[in-house]
Amino acid sequence: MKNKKMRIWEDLPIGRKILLAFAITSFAMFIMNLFMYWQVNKTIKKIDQIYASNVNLNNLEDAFSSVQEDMYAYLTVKSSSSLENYYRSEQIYRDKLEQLNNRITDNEMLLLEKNIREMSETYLIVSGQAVQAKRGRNVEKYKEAYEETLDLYEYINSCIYELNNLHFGNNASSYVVLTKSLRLMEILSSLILVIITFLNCIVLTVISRNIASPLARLSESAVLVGEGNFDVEIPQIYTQDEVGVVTKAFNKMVHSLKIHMEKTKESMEKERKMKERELLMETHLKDAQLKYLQAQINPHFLFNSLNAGAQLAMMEDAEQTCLFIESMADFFRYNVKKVSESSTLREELDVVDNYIYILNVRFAGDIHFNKSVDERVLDQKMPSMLLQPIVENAVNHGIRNVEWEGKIHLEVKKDGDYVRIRVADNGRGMTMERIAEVLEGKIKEKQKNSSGVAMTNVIHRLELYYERKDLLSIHSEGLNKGTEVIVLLPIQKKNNRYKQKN
Amino acid sequence: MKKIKMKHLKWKKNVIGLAVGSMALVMAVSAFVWLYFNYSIRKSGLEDSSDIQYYDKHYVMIVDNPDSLFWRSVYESGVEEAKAQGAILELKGVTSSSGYKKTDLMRMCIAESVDGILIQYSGEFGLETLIDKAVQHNIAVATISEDDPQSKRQSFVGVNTYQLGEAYSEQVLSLMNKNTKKIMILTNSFISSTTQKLVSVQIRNAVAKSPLGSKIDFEVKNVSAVSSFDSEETIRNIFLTSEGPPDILVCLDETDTECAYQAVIDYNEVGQVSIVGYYTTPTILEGIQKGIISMSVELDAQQMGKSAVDALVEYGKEGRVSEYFSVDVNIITPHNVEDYLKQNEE
Repeated sequence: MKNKKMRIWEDLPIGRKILLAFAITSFAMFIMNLFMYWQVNKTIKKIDQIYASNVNLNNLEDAFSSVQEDMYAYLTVKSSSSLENYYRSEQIYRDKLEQLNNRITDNEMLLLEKNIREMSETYLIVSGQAVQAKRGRNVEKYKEAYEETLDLYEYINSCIYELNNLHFGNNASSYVVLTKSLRLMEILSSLILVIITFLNCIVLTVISRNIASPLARLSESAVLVGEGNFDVEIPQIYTQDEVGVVTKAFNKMVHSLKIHMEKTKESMEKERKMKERELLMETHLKDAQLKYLQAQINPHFLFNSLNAGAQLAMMEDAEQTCLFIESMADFFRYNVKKVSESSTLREELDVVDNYIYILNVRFAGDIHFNKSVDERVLDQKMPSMLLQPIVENAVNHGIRNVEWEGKIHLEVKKDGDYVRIRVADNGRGMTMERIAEVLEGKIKEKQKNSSGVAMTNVIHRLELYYERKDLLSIHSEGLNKGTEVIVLLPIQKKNNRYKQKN
Repeated sequence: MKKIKMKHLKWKKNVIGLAVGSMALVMAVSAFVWLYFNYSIRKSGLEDSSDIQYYDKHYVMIVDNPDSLFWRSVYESGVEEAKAQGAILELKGVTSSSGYKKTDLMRMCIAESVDGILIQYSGEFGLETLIDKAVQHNIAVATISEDDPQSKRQSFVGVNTYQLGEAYSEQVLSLMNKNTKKIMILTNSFISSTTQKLVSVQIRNAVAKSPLGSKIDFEVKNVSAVSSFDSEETIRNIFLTSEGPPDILVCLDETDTECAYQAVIDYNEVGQVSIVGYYTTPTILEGIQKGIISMSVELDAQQMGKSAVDALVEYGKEGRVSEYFSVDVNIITPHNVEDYLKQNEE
């Protein structure tokens, strides 16, 4: 029930809350003022009543005098009008007497009232007798009765006077008491007003804090969010007022900001990784270039020397020698030219042919090389100096020094979205561990001395060029069972190629 | 954030406490205002107070000197008895301010149709007729202290004059010695009427019969209060005469006793003049304690008040009542004054 009431209060708009707070405090002030006014009014009324008893007694005295005067007038002139006056004033006096106490009591004033009333009754009887005697012309009796009324008149008057005095004394003290109480009430009402004002201040403070504290908490949260802390615990507000609406909107805003920031971070991370990859590729190329540069002096010199040798052989009509030397020259020229560029599959195959020719001349045709090439894929772009090192490995580590006839088979064909290049030998073969080492690049150091480009380098360049792994695989059924290296070149679309170039 | 919440809660608690406290204060002050207001109204006597007691009978006591301690004492015990019997007793007195005589007061009582009158008879002219008139109007009348046996009063409450005379005579005789030359009795205007005359005659006879009596000069002096301060002046004059003051001064009234006591001190006659006083006011008791007043004769005021009211009540109930109610006489001397004071304190 209480919670429900609190909910109703909390859901009120701020404007109405302020209005209600004002109304509540004003109402409290109003009630207290009403109470004090009521009390003070009551006191003032009492003060007004104080001297009423004296006024009443004076009226009684006047009425009594009238009776005496009218009786005297009748006794003197015996006119019917004076008799009428006498009866009228007697009736008035009797009416007034009715207001006096007629019971026996120990209260001094009430007892005096009783005495006055009793004496007046006697007086009225005697005065009645006097009037009757006058009407009956009983001179002696009315004179006697008149004398008696004179005595009684004096006694009654003195009693009224005494009672009046008592009332006056009493009323004076009542007046003092009431004025004192009125003064005290003034002080107390001021005190109550001060307390109520204080209470109102508290109520207003409570209500204003009630309104302002969610805003304060919200602003604190806003500051934290402004500093970039999106994990701030946002105050839960259940109210339906303006603050509640603002807080909810703020919460939503912080939540969407958080999501947006996360997305931005993710994309930045991706960009960063891409840049990193590009840099790595460049590093590898530089590494390869450096190695070739070291070897460049010889090829250039060798290339020029070989050209000179070829011309000499031609002049001497030694055709075989001339062909050999030209093949040698082509091989080295390709090495010098193509080391930093992409080349085509055709060029790569030419290099392999030249290389095999040279070796066969060197080793007297010991290497049995054959190839089957799908002509459609000869223009396929690919990293340069890729096939020759594989073939060189097949010669150096596969079929060299084997006791049986060494054969190398090169196969190029289209396989779906790939160009599949297969280099197979029937040489010494490889263990599974050796294959794993080669693929993971762990034997890099050992192969440093090799004249060709290392297998590892081939693998890395493939990965960098195509941005994916597993394009090169090595298969062998064990030692002396030959080795098969398969390279898959993804057939690239024009856009991709353009991107790669850039 | 939690810290802020805690702070907020604590603040809320404090504020609620403060608000409740102020509310309680307001309520307390309001309640006090309300109670105080009602109390003031009651105190001022404006509101009809419900504690007024009503009675069946209205008795009036008429005496000469209502302000004297003796009559006050009589009246108080009378009021007490009257209330116990369901009646009130009103005291009307001959005071210098009112100017009324006892006859006026009697007439008033008759006009008021009271139920009973206690009157200290003093031989005033017309008083007896008025007593009779009151009786005719079915008002019970009892005389107190002084009696009017000729009237139609229903009863008399007081000391037997003979008994009183005996008591005085005894005291005077005990004070007499061979140096005693003069004894003076101070009587008092109307009061002197019968009782005082009888008492003074009795003392004179007793003195005369005593062995030393023939040598003693005996004087009865009326210090009648014609105007307010007459008795005081008369008593002082006694001390200023060429003969000098008497050796024994007998007072039959409490005011006379106090005046004589003061005069003895003022004229440096302590030890020379023996005072036989009447009644026991604080001044008289002081005089007895100091030995300046030799002794004082006291009527039992309380017994008198009670008996007088009882007489009226009995007459109202039964239609008849005993003619005479006796009141005891106490003699206070320097020997028993301490016991007397102790008793009264109790």
